[in-house]
Amino acid sequence: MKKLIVSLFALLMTIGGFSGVNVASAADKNCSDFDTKEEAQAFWDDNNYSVGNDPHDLDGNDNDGVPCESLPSDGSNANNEENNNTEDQQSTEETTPAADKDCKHFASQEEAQAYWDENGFTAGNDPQRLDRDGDSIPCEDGDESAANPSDEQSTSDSEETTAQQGGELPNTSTSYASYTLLGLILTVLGGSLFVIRKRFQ
Amino acid sequence: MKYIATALVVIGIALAGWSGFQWWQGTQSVSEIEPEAQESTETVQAAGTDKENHSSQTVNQPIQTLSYDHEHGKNIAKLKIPAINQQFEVFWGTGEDTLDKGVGMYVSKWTTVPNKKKGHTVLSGHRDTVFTELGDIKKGDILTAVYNGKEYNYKVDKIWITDADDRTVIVKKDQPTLTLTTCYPFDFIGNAPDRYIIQGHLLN
Repeated sequence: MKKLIVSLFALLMTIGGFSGVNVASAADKNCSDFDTKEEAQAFWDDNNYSVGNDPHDLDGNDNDGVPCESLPSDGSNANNEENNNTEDQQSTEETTPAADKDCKHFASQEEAQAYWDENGFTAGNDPQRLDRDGDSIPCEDGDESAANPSDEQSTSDSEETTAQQGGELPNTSTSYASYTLLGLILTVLGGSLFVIRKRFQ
Repeated sequence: MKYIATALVVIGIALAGWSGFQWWQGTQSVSEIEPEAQESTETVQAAGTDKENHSSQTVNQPIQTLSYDHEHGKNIAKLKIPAINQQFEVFWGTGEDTLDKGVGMYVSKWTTVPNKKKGHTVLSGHRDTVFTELGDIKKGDILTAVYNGKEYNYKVDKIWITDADDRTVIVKKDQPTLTLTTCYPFDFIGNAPDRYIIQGHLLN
């Protein structure tokens, strides 16, 4: 009997282990589970959430693709909704001129590009910080552009400190194999319990 | 005692059945290559050798994936790999839900839709549902992307394995490039730690 209890316990631990490994965001989360906006944003990006895909409702009532805006910022390169993302810590965002535009004002990269060209802006002359990576193409980043509020792949460009990094490789593994295997193990275990019972009666 | 045994069997069968079903569902967007009527698509050549003027259609179309506002999960392309005799439906985006449907097209500031001018198109798929045979692809094999009524043929240049958090793969490219990504090792049960990358350039 003791042996049985111990092995059942071991099995439950295994199940728990599998769940931990394979089900990344099983537990429900609210903004209070995070300490800062950046943490919430990182969780959001990891799970490829977006305005249309927000099962934990972290994007509140304004549905602007920025989760948990009520949380404090940790002072690093934050995805501040009022201003453009900046790689460096210059606070020109706070003292923006009256006619300031950010990428949200444009419906597409083409519109931003047209505005940019009209004003003769360049990578070196970009007072409104529309060209974050300095390649003379303004408003490339999806999470600044109003035309693509549901962009899921524009991950953590503002949270990362190096500008050279590319996109995260998608998570292309599934838990189907592990769960199917687990199911089979449980069935076999249950089946063998039946057999053992019969033997001992 | 009998109850525990019964419960285990019931739970076991339910779990195996449900995940088995989902697993099977995940493979449904893959099929064998059908001999296709060639009038429906035009083969696109890399810029510079394109003589006919069907470029007027593509010149005005943006190539950056972020220029499009498709719903994630929408079927927007096909991928054909004659070397393994498979073709795949390709869906917009590479989030979890989209990858459960089949091969996804990466949407980001670094990637483009298939086009003849330039850029990087990245397609990703689960190794245990759609990209199960990717290990059989060799250098020199042809990958064909069918997008917007046109066929784009890429020749595989490089195949390599890297770890899951390598961020030097999905970057901007000048030459039109197609990259496939999936998990590695192929037989791993659970969250595989590495990624298998296949990369090719658009053929002239």
